[in-house]
Amino acid sequence: MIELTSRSGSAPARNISIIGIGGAGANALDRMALDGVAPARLIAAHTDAQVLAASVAGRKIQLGQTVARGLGSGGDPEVGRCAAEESAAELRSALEGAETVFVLAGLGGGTGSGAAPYVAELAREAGALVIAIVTLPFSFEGKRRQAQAAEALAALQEQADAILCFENGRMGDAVAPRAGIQTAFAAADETLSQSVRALSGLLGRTGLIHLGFDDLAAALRDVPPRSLFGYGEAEGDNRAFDALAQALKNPFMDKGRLLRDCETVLVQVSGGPDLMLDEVQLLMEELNRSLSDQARLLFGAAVAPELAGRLTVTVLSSLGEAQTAAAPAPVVTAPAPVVAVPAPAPVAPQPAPAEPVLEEKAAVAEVAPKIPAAPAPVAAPEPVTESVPVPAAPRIHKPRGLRVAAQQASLFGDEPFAPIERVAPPVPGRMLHRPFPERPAPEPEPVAAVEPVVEPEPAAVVEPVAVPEPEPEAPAVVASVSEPEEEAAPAEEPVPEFFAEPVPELEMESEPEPAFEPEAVAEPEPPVVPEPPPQPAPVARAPFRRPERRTPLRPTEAGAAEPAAAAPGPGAKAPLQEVMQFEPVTRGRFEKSEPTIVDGQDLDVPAYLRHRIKLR
Amino acid sequence: MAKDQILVGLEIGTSKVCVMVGEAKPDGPIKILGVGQAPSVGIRKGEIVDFENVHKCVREAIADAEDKSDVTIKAVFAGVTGAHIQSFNNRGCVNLPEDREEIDETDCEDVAISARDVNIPQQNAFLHTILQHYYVDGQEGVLNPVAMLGRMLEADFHIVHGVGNRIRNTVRCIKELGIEVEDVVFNGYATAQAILSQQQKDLGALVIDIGGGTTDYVVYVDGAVKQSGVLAVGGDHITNDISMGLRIPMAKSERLKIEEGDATLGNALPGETIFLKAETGFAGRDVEREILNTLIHYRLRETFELLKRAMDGEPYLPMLGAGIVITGGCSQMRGIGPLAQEIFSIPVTVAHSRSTSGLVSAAENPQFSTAIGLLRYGQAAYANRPQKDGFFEKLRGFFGRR
Repeated sequence: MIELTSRSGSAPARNISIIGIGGAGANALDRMALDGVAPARLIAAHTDAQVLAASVAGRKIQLGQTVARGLGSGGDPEVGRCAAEESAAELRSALEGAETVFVLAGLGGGTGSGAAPYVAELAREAGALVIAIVTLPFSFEGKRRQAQAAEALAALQEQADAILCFENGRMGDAVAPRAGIQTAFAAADETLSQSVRALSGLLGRTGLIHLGFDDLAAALRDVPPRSLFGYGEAEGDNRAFDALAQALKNPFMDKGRLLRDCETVLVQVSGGPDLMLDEVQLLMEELNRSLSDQARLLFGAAVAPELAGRLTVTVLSSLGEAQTAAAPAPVVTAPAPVVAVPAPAPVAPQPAPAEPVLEEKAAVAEVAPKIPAAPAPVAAPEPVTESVPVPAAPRIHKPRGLRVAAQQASLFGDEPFAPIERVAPPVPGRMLHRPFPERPAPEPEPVAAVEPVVEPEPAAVVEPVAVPEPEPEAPAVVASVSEPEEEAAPAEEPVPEFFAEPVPELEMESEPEPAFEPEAVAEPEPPVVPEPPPQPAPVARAPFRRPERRTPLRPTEAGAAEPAAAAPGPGAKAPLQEVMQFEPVTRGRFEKSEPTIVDGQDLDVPAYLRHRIKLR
Repeated sequence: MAKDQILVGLEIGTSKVCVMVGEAKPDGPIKILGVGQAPSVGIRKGEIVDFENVHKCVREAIADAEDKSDVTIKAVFAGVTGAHIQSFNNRGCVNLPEDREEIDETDCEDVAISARDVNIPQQNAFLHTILQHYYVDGQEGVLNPVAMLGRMLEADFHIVHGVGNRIRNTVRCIKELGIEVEDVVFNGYATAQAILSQQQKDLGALVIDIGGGTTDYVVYVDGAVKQSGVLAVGGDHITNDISMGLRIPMAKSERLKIEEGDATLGNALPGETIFLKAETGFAGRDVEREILNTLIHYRLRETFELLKRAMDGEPYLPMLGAGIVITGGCSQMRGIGPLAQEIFSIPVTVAHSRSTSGLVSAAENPQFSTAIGLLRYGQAAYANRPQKDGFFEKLRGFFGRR
């Protein structure tokens, strides 16, 4: 405990350095400084002293004072590289202590192409995680530059842990063809800036459903990388859609069309404490329309207090020669621990100011890291995610408790081993839970260990699922979702109880969930719900009962919204629908107009009611 | 008469007020100069329920039309519809005076007047007395008896009448804008003029105009109107059904209907859903496509079955050589043609108005069939009306065969 307390208390902020190399890199860096990207050290490195002088970066390194004499590199990568080598000592000192280094460069020119791979190498030697974010030249810049860019890209690939590579050519689609060139370049810089912000957020912010560097690497795995990146941020009632629309509007997405060809797509949704599960669900369903059925979806969700009221979506993928889901694992293993360390740290402090309830929860948080601690030495990558669920717990906010809890539950879908199993489901909206079916195979035990932590009460930590009662809603969800992960045996008993009890108390808000989770349950393990006889149908029936009890009006809606999968469960449903038909007939908008009576029938009453048509 | 005539059709529909401005030579195609539109407020099932608001809508639509066509609108042909409109067939009979054997135009007028000599509800007024056939001394199939010799002139008429005050409300609404109403036309009849060619009328056809609030129908057999009517069920009912069946707001269901609706059952993939975006006051949700289609299907099926039942009383259904033509805004519903065909077992086409020039895009929208039909009606009325506009000539123009 003591150890844990100290750990959660001293949350070391992730040490991020962003180094912009060459003209393009410096521009992007300036843009970033203006945008106020997450706290990071900004370093501008260039051969051209003039450009450097204009830069607003915190630290400026003039490369190759003797080689380039403060002038540019003349478009020669050799000069660029020599210059960087000459300034190696300075670069090293600048990069010292950084845990993550973003290398920004426009490839094709001299400094960017020549120095960037070298800088990446230095950063790597310094023990940092290196993410290169580069642009490829416009095609009109000539074959020579294209070739230089390709060469530099290949060199970078050897050094960097991940590469995000954008084609300037696509910028043409980004902005109107007649837009000023300044606008076009500003758009390019903005994309770079956004991507850095999104990536640093992605890596630094521990998610409810965490995405680690492993996921990032998986999403960007294609070898001649051509990255797709979209970032959207919105607030308001429709923020989920607006954000997604914005993200897909990014030129590199080609309005989401390119996503169809992607094999692996990483999506992170983050929002303030008010982030709602149905928002995430809606958004993902919408996004799934743009994806192919085979796409592997790496989904993450994070809550950050500073995002209050807003929602951001980051969509990241890459296109390239078909490289099927071989193994992100090897790539991942090395960097994963790096991510793991800081991951839980920032989380714990976050909830503290946010919530009064937190005292208990903080306790949970403290307990949490312990659990990963146990398996940690065994398998390096695991701790990452295992620690994740824990911080999630304290974030349960009373009003939204349910949603968050559900999200949290799906956390288990996020162990580093998971990506392979997280094949994007063809049916939208369920991906949150899809992982579960396959889940038991890889890691049933540690998961089970984590689960109790998820329970809102510290008490629950000791005794798994059975105990918690205070907030009936939350446990219900947690229990049901987490179920399939375990071997189902231990939890089986308590679960039905939860199902039964909290149900009537569910509030409107929780509505989407019932639809969700039973499915998750139904697919992997139909027998989970013991009472009703047949297999998947009875499970699906659960959501039916809920709305029904809630308000008399619900059934229709539920019926309408109910996915086809639920159709075969007629036992409970059929009477329901019939009951509805005996409701007093209404004429809707024609209530006050002159009735249209033909052959003794009031035609203003919906035809389906008069003809006794069952709408499932 | 050779001079081009500017015609204006004004339809006060349940979903929109539409002003169509066209230019027509007596027998040439109509050139559409502009269309003015305004969404309707205060119309239910084709009838005015909020005079003030309708007044505003009409003014808006007229201003819009004047704007777009660059024509100052002085007089319009107004369309009316509503469940109050009824029709029947009747035969009129005139015996020529002893001292005259040649049938003249006065006799033709008289025979129409005699045909209207029937009991209709007191508050009702005649809307149309549409000539079907003349009989001269019992001889059938006379098209134009003028100048023929005979002792007795008979004629079959299709008579359309409706509640006088309701029709007058429409007229008043327009007249208050300082615009003359040249004639009031039953929408269904007007639509048929826009949709059917003379050949189709001769072969026999049923025109079904499914609009927002009403479904108007007209049966042509042997080139003459045999049956017509209004069923106060339209697209709004579909919307209402969707709204109630899926429990979503009206505006949502209207959009859902237009964008996704299909009248075909079993067309959706099992479990296929349509996503409704979240908006203020509406949490987004999924709607199962099959349910949506089911709602639409049963409403339209019922509508067609009611029409068929109305037809069944008369022998005309087997005589429709040109089949059934569906038009009106609601005819844009996917799968409506096959559904109608299944019910009537007669070839069905979904059509918009034919042979116009000018603003062709307007003509190609089935929503404007009625408005264009009003122009055609006006064109025919002018063609039969001598320029000097004598009283009898004017009447003849109205009642003459078109």
